[in-house]
Amino acid sequence: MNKTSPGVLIIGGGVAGMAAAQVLSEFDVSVHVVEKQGRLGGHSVMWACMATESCVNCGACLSFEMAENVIGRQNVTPHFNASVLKVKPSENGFDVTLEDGKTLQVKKIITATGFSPFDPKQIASYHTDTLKNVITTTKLNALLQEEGIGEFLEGNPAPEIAFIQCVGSRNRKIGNDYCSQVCCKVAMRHANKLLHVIPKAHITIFYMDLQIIGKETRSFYQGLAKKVDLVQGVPAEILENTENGKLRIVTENRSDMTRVVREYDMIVLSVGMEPSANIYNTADIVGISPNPWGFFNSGDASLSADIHVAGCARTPGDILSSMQDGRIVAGRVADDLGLGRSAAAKTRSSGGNDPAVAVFGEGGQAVATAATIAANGYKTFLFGTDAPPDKSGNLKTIGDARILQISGTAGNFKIYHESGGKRHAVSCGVIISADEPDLVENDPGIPSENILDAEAFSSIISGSPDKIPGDIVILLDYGAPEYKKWARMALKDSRKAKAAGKNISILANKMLVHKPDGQRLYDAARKSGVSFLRYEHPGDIRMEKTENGFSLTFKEATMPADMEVHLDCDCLVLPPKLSAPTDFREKAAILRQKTDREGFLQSPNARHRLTGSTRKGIFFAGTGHDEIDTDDLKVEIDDILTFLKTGAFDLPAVVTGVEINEKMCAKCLTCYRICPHGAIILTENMKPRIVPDACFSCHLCVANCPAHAIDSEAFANDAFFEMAQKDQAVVFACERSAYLAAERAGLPEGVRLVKIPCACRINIDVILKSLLKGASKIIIAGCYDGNCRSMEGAQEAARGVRQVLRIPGMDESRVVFSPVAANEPAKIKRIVSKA
Amino acid sequence: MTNAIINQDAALCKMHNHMPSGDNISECLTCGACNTRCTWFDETVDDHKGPIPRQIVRMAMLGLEQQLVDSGMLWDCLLCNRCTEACPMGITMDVVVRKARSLNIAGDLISGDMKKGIKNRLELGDVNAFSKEDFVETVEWISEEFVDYVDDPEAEIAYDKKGAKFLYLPNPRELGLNLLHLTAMGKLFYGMKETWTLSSVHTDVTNWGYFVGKDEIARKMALMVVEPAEKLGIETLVLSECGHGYHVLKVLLEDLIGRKPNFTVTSIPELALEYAKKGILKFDPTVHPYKVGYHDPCNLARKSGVYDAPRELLAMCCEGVVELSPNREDALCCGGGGGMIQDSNSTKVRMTTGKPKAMQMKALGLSHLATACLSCHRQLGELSKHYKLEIKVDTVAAMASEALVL
Repeated sequence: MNKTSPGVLIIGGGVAGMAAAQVLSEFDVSVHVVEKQGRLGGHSVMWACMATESCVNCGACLSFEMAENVIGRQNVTPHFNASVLKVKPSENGFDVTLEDGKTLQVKKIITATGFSPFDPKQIASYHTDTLKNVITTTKLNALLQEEGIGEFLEGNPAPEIAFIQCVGSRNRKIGNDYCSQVCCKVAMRHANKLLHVIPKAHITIFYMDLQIIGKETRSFYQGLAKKVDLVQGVPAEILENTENGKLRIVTENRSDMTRVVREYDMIVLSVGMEPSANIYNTADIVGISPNPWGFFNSGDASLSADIHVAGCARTPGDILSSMQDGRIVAGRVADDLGLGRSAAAKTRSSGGNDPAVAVFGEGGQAVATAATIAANGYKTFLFGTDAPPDKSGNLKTIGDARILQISGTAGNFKIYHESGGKRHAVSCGVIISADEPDLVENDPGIPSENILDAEAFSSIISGSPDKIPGDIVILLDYGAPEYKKWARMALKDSRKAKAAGKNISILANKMLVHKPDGQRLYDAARKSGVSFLRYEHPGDIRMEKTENGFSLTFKEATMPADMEVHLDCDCLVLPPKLSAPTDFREKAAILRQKTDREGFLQSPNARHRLTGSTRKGIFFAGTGHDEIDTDDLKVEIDDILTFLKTGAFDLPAVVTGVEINEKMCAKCLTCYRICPHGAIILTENMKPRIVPDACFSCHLCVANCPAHAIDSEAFANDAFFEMAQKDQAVVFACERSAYLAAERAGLPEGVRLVKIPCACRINIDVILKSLLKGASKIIIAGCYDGNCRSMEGAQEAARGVRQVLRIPGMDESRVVFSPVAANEPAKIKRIVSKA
Repeated sequence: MTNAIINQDAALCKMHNHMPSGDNISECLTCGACNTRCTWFDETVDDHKGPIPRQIVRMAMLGLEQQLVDSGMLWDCLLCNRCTEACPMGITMDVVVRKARSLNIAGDLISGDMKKGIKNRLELGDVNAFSKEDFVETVEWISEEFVDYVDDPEAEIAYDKKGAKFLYLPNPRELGLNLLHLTAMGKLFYGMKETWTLSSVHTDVTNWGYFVGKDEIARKMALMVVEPAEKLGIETLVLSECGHGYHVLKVLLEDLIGRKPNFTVTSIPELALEYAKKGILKFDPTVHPYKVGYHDPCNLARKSGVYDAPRELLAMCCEGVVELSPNREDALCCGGGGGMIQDSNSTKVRMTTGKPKAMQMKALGLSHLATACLSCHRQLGELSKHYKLEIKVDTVAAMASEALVL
């Protein structure tokens, strides 16, 4: 950074602000983060860890590491307990005055002021003022993070707990006619966590339409549905039983069609997201204006060329998508400033040129991805048969090729493939897998020309609606889960059908209303007379062919339980089913990646989501790895482009200090085989070599080398040996999780806290040597299963502990492995206090 | 298992789907908020299961008219709009239910008392068939009594007095069962020192056309009030304490008759408060040396927005007003609304629909409760007796009259 570096002001140090700062700090830019609190992280640091046995991928814990990382960057200046007082446009951008009188000159401004949780006091009938056990998501997070939930419930071993969804969301009357996008997932995770903490708790989630959207959410939902009561319909009132102090909710009793009172010990209001309380003030100061909701996610919000909005200030979203938004906006700012590619990025490709990019996949998504990447100036190879028109001259299509093997690391991949019976190799710096899953036609078992798939219906109703008969039913969530793409198509196309004079009904178990305008589309469709029917179970629907069409018989969820309703139609629209093809496993294996629990590409590990992988330079885009639509694909490509610009294929490269001692190496290739990051390559004479730039410094190879041939400057065995003291407990804590929690919690005197790069570094050797040195207790605290940046690190450590405990005479209480997330200070304190 | 064929060409669907936003039931989000707000709560009695509000809306929307009529929910509904208050789409339940009640196939559900009352009201101007002769005789008699009551030989309770400032429209009970109430209201007017009159042509604040959902009947009944009042040339029509009467004549009137009347409309507690604020009416709070709970009548409060005036007036006439919980927008219906109390066979059901209210009254721990609707007043009194609450129930205007210092 030099004196002439352009300045960028980021207002708000939450996840979006931090992510933007991380991206911009890769360039020759002077970044100022103005944060009203005395710390970075915004709301995310107040979130509890939702992990039970394993991580559920919410990403909340990541913000602690991000905050440390951002503060540690040379060209980022945080301004804590500060706010912007005045912004004056000047010749060179803006003169900014902070409340404490400080002045800054900046070229660009990113507003990342986040959100405020909806204040449930606005709904008087919930009585949050007087009923202390009616709490919000925010309070529940605090209770879980402090491990105070048991005490809050006065030790009740089997409490009745209810969640009420959509409090302050999807409500036109209070001006919030939008879905907050995150609360369903949050409540499901919270319920899961509560059951883990209080196994005998009985939990009910009252929902309007469970928004089951996104990677692995369906399988998570299916698991949860067996453990909690899911009840459609959101209570609008909570009363108190003055005799026993319990909270009363009146609900519909489906079995006998009466109302019934149910009593609860605690009710959690899933409060929606509103813009941050002072967004109007901030917007006024910087000279932009939000839409009537207070967000910037629709055309009626106004921005200016030099002022951007990112994260939840722009639109409600979860932690990972806010981070992504921060990155993308920062990438756009870097483009506007004409910064090109960062210095780091240039060192990561030969000769400082832009890396070549290989895109894998058949179909439109790979084509769109390759075309966009090429249009951005990168030499692009598309491994797929559909060749897009190449306007840029950068795109080469390699059709009909079978990929055999990929060698090398980020910046220097070599893709070996076979086509026309010959083997070829292509060099590239970055690989994007945009492989698509299979679309399976939904077959109701009735042959008819008047059954259309969603895409066909969409094009007919837009182009020549007269070709379709007059009574139409769109059947969602039948034979296949309801995917957001087709839910949205149904909402849009049904209105077109209505406008063309058709009678149209949408039959679904739930209505997905994602995106800022999802609820409005749904409201508009109902208002225009599209009729929405809610069935209870797909199995309840009987479909018969009639003379002119179809007759559907089913139980409608809002009707008496003993009633079957009949609906006749002459045209049936059925969306297809997405399924992970069997070759995804093979495709993942070639990339040295894992598929997720549902067989789709990319692990769900939050440390590499949304588009990344465990290997630098390998990315995922499209429906092969996540539930996304066309707009989301554009966002994913933008995200990847930002990575390409910064060269920060992941968090910055570190000097790993890990080296293979060639003299001791037995060439067993254990390290090559186990490296989760593909950072170990084989030289021409089949010797393993660590590529520092691709290495994440997890030390898995150090801990596992049978010949002890891999040296670590910072974490050598001997160094650990030095750390153990007689009669002292040692806590080996992963620097990304437990160590951050321990720093916040403050551990008692006499406990030795040792920061380690990954729990996997602590192998049997280290444990035994420490015990021999006289350590009273060894605690290894790492990430939850599924959250380890190096995938198996924490499990590897746990395995080591189990092995040690099998040694005859070993006292079980002396060696412990426990997962602790960065947002679990109370947990690490508890574990250590037992020492 | 019952069967139902979805029929969006049904009359009820069309009735609603041509309405402007808000009353358009096809906008129902099926969020279920309404189900959790029904005054019946977890009660059932005999074959009355009480309403499931969302089912009412959905059956209407899907054209399941017969199922809706057969469900028994239409006349179990108290039209209290407690559910509407929580509806994010602003669907007005009393409108939905009344439209359904108006269907020909629902005709048999209307109680005999209701049918008879409507006939009387349309033919004679009074639900109780109180004739014009009866009226004149009664009013002349109480007018004589009134001279002694206020100790002023010039005082009178007049009727058909042209050019009077106020026209008072009493509740039928004030001319039959509870003449003292009429006298008490007379005292308030007397204290205001304004000219006021009754009308012999129409004597009745009620409008049961509202309950049966037949706009044509409601319109006729409203015109029976409006036209003679306009002939008398009054400034303001003052309504007795009657919830649905107020809602119809104050809130729905213009839509119903298609024009503005040539007078303003208010209620006796609101008018008394106005004159108290001007310093003309003075009250002695020590006449009622105790605290009084206030019950919000649904028609007056939730459905017409009158929350504060009765409370303010009451506060001037006793030691203080105490709130029931919940109250105001979330207040519980007395259990006698929606035409139920007008049906003499409803007592047993009403004691069940009113149980949540009774429990609420009990939790208040006071011996006095007031309200500003004579129907609520009657129901609350019966609840007090039935549940042995030993709470004396008054109306706000009656207490004001007692506390009035002449």
